[in-house]
Amino acid sequence: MAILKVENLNKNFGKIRAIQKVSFEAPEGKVLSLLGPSGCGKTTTLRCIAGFENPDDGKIYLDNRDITNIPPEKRGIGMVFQNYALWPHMTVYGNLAFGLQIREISKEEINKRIKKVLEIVQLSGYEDRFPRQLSGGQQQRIAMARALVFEPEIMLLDEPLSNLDAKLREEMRFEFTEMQKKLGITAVYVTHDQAEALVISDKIVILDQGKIIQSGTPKEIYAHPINKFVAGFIAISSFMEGEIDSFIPEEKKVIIKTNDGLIIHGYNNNLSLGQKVAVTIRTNVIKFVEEKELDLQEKINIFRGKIIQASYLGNTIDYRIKIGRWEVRTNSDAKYNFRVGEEVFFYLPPEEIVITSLI
Amino acid sequence: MGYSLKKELNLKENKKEVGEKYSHLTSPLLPYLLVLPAVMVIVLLYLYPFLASFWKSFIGKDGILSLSNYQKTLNLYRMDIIFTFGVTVLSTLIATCLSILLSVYLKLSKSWLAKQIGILYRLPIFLPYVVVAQMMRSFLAPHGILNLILAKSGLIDIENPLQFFNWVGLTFGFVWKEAPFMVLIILAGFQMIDDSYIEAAKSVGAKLPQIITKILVPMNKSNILVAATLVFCSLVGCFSFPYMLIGGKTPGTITIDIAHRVNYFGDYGVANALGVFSYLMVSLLAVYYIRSMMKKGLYE
Amino acid sequence: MPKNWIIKTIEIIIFIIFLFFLLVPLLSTIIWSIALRWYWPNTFPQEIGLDYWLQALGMIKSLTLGAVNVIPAFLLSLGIAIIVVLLTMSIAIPAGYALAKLRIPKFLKGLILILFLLPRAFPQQPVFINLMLVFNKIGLTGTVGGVILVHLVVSIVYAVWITTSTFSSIPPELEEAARSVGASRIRSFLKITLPLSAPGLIASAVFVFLTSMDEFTGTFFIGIPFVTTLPMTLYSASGSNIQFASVIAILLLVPSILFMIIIQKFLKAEYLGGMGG
Repeated sequence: MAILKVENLNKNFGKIRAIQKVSFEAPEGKVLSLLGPSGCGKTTTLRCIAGFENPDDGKIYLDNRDITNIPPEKRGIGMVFQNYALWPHMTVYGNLAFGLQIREISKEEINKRIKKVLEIVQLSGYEDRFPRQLSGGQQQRIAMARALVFEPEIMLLDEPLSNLDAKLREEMRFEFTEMQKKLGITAVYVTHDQAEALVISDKIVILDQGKIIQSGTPKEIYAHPINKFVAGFIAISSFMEGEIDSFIPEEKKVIIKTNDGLIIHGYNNNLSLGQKVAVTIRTNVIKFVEEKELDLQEKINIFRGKIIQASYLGNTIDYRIKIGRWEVRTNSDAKYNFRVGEEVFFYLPPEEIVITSLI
Repeated sequence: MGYSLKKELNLKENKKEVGEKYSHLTSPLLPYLLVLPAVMVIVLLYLYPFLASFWKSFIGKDGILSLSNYQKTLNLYRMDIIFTFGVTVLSTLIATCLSILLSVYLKLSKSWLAKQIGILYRLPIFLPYVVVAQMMRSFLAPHGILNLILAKSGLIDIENPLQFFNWVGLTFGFVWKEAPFMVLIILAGFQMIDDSYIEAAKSVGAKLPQIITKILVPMNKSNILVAATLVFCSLVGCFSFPYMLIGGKTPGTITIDIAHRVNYFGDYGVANALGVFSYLMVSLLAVYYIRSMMKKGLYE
Repeated sequence: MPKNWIIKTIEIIIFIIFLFFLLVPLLSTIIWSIALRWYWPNTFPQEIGLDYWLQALGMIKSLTLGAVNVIPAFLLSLGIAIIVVLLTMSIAIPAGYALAKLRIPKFLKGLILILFLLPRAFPQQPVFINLMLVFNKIGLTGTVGGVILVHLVVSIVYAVWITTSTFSSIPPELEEAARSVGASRIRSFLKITLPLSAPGLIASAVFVFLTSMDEFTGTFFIGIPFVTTLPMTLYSASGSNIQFASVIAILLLVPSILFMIIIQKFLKAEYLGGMGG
């Protein structure tokens, strides 16, 4: 087990600034995810850690050992590739044994370790198969096994599940988490799938255009996205924009006024008067209110809107609602059955909407 | 975890340090070191003599810079230059048409015969021009098999066999050798065209000629052009076959003249001027070929 | 269906014409190689036998006009071809690997690409003339070494192309995976990339072998009169004795066809046009 530390990493490809000033620390025995859309620099960061790219600037430490200029084969880092990169001319045994043979480990020890690692990935008895004889999920597990078998200090995974179908992906996520916890290995996991990142990670680093935007635990990021980009990326959300109109200091509340006159109450104590802000509304926070109950409700954050689209998704309905010049989405259970064009009232709980500064 | 690896790394500490120092020195230079020998071979043994042929063509017998070689070349070999161009154009055109037709046939027909043709047509591609030359000499000779068959079937007078050791035989041999190579490239392009395009054309009433001229050929234009370009360029520079078939006769090809100029007169100036003419003849197409290969990224 | 019947007939006629022009030149060479006497205008040779084959192969002593013993020429061609293959591949494999796998600035790569396309685009004969002038000065004309160098320059272009596209077809992650489990750059090349690219590299080597065996133009100017490879003996027999020439033509043709049937599926179509200029 080891701590990975990345400090001020910079890498340009020609004129393209792939990553800029990327710094983070992967906690010992935990999973750190690099999350972001394609081209955000997450894979470049991973390849710098693995040693396949030389950063232009910055340092990489593994347990306080500077590995920035060490060739990849001497870093002791296990890597799982997006396309698995299993060697097609070797059997499963050959694939797993390769790294061990380099270390001049005895044959009995190699056999023992391969047997053990195949048990971990639940593919005992597959030693003599060739990669082409395995299903996608099995290839994926062998790729994991190959990265684990030489007992690396940390493990890097580059979108390891993206080539699997949705159902298998979910299963493998679970299996990966279980395996990682059992072995207690430090892992850096690259993904563009926010759901995946939220499920498997102990810490998430969100990148966009080569820069770190936010990092923290899944809970922190989900609850307090630092800006609209993160909020949008981390969950399907709707946005409204406005500026800080006033404060209610005793409740630590802010009041936002949109440019079409809507008043929204929310919480955030790092903002100043007149600042432009985004209001992020996740699909699951909108609460419909029946007209006759209106008097019973609090008087704030109640809005009147018009259903402009309704899509049935099994036992839930996805509504698009127009309020003023904004459009919000909600995912509601089928208890409410509105028609398109119908007027509805809904409530936005101030503690559940997210106010972030608009950059 | 990681303990065993660290131990192993420590064991190799000394070796590692040396290796690291070394790899640091070489890694940015490594790609250049690896391509250098190949580039040197081309630069020294190809590019230098290639450029020299331009330079030497401007140096007259007296060693002074002049156009005398070109004057002499145009006086002596004007007809041969025209002949070379004519035969090359004719051969390329016939080979292109023939190979398009054969490729269309191989693309559209699913019969047993088409399958056999699809295998056999490749034969000439693999034969070197010396062998083709020898085969054509015995096939096209005044008393060769072709004349024999034509005479026996009563098509020609047995006392007056046809003469093929001229532009006719040259064109026949060129087409025989190059058309199959063109089929290989053109057919590969046709196979990429989905059958549904042809079926769609048929459904709106297109007949075979329209399908060929309006669908297949336009959709496969780049492959056809590259194939024709390659054939044109290699025919202009082909030496062995013309030399063995019509060497010494007039008119002959530029390549034959170059060999004569060098072997009998030791006249490198005129030989190089002739060479420059052959470069000029291919220049437009050569540039087209290089550009299309660059765009395609031959390395991928 | 009358239409079907017409199409079938047309197809058969096309097939017969195709076979005639494709195979009769070949057949005529084979018949000439065993025709002891064949006077115009007889349909078939008056006398056939293997005499010319046996003479050419040095199995019987011959006094025929223009007789050649092809065995020394064959051995010379074979020896040159083997050296050319070893030399070319040991230059082309590193170059192909660097061009396919290592980082070289784009404009340099483009420059190298143009350099390696020039010999395919422009006539080579004038180049050999000037190479001959260079070789005259350093005493390489008429030597086996000179011929090897000219074969090298002819074949290296194709060898670099083929090895480059072979190495490009292997995903870079395979080698990276090897390095991540601890293999050095050289070891991952030897254990991963090299075995996976073996079919393409062997195809390339065979291609170079055949190019050298069949090479005419360069040898004609650099080698003659002292270095008589198989194509050179064919050339000199061609004018004087059609039977010997036919025997040599067949000897040159057989390996070409055999090898190419085996390796052609590993090669891109564009390369094949360069055979035996």
